[in-house]
Amino acid sequence: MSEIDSAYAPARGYDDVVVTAPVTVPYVRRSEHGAAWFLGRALAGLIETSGVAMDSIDGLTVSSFTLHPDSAVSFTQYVGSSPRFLESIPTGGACGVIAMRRAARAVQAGDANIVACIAGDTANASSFRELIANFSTFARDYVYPYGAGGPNQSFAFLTDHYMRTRGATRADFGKLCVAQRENARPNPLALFREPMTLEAYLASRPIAEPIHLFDCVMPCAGADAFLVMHRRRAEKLGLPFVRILSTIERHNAYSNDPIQMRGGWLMDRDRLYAEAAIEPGDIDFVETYDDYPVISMLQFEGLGFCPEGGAPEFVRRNTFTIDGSFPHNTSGGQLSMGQAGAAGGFLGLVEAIRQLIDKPLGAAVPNAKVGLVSGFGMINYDRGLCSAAAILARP
Amino acid sequence: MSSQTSNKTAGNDGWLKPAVDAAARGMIAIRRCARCGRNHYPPREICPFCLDDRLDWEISDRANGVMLAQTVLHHSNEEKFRARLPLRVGLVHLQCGPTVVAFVDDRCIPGSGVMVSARLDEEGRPVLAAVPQQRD
Repeated sequence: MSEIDSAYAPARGYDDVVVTAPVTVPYVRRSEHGAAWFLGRALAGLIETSGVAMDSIDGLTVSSFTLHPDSAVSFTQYVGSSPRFLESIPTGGACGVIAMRRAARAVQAGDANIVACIAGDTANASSFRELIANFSTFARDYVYPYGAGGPNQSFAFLTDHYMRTRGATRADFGKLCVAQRENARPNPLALFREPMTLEAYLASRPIAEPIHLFDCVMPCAGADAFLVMHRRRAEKLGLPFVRILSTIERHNAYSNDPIQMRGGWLMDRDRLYAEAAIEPGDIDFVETYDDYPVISMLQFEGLGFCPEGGAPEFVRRNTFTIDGSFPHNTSGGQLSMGQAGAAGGFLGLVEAIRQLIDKPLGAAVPNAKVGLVSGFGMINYDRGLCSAAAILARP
Repeated sequence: MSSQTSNKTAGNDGWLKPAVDAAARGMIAIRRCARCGRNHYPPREICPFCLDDRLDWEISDRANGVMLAQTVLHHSNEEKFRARLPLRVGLVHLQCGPTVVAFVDDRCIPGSGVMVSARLDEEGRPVLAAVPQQRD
């Protein structure tokens, strides 16, 4: 790496750009609506929640898998929006943090005053199969022909390898899943709220060994959204908001590793904490991308909550419940709420905003002042390519 | 016609023909860069290590490697695989560099040596399959 590349230049802070108006279009297992309906209802929800007029929303980011063959551009005509800033954010499980940081820079630079960030998808009997069969060239031609297992299959490889090399057991993964289900119990929007025991987790049927049924998120339909604007605008509107302390993103990290044992967070986390001027121990709750539990473990390691390879031990000594040690995926995560396509990349961020403005979907994390949101997206071939994280705080 | 092939853009993958022809003869084809000499997979028209576009095919009857991970599929999204469940699939790190997805023989053990060969599947696409390395 050249001297120019390695010189540390801190990114500019986000000043008074804030995030507000978390919206969820309730998830449903299947829908006869198209993706544009979910995205459109999310936009309407933002307007209703914030009191901002449609014409005042002059920036828009859109994330969706099932909007195809339509795009962010065609969506503007569909809903009658005329933004002067438009982004399509195709980073899957990392799209929430990435949409937020794009939007924040646009507001900071004056390219937009109010940016609506929306993500959503529909789901029907064939949509999931169609999506995974044509997810990417590499996935279509070099993974799918080997049994058409979809993401279960790719994550099974990573889980199998992680278990053998790091000593993780199914009970370790199960502990995370059981804790998330516990966190989902007071959340009326979770598709799965009934208690789950570790015994039930361990007894669930194999899908793509070592992945079993309760390791898998339920594909569903739904949308999530939030607004990004200047602090004084949020104050004028009377909207509760959160500050962005720092953010990172990385794509195709460690591409020479023969198999994925780490994501891109490790490359950028020093920057994440330095720019926020806090330590991992200062974080009050963490929202990881929980598709699948092994990926939550990679995030604990990559974001410095435990050493590389230390997540199984870290899981054994924390509770991950809202009122316990290391509150994690406090709405129940995708494992309990379902995975509404690209909205899965927003779910953790929207929940973090809600925790920090005292409007959680379920229970509140006691005395939470700072939250960390992490994203992981897009298994293109043998590994997830996108990683992102953000640290958010009360005003 | 299945969804995998129906969405393909016709005529833009002629450069892959040597890999298809090789697989029809049971041979595995790995992309090798004429400039930097490194191998990659899945095949590309641009070298992911040096961006050169002068890429050759290294064709052999088998490639040795180590199976890094495996899964046993009990669920498939395609009808044609359902009769074959449970189906064992692995991730193999080839000695020549890249990591490949392959069907794996029941006798393959994670962490152990395997031999990978190619064939055409029922849709005419090259697919890889691994068996344990022979000790002789």
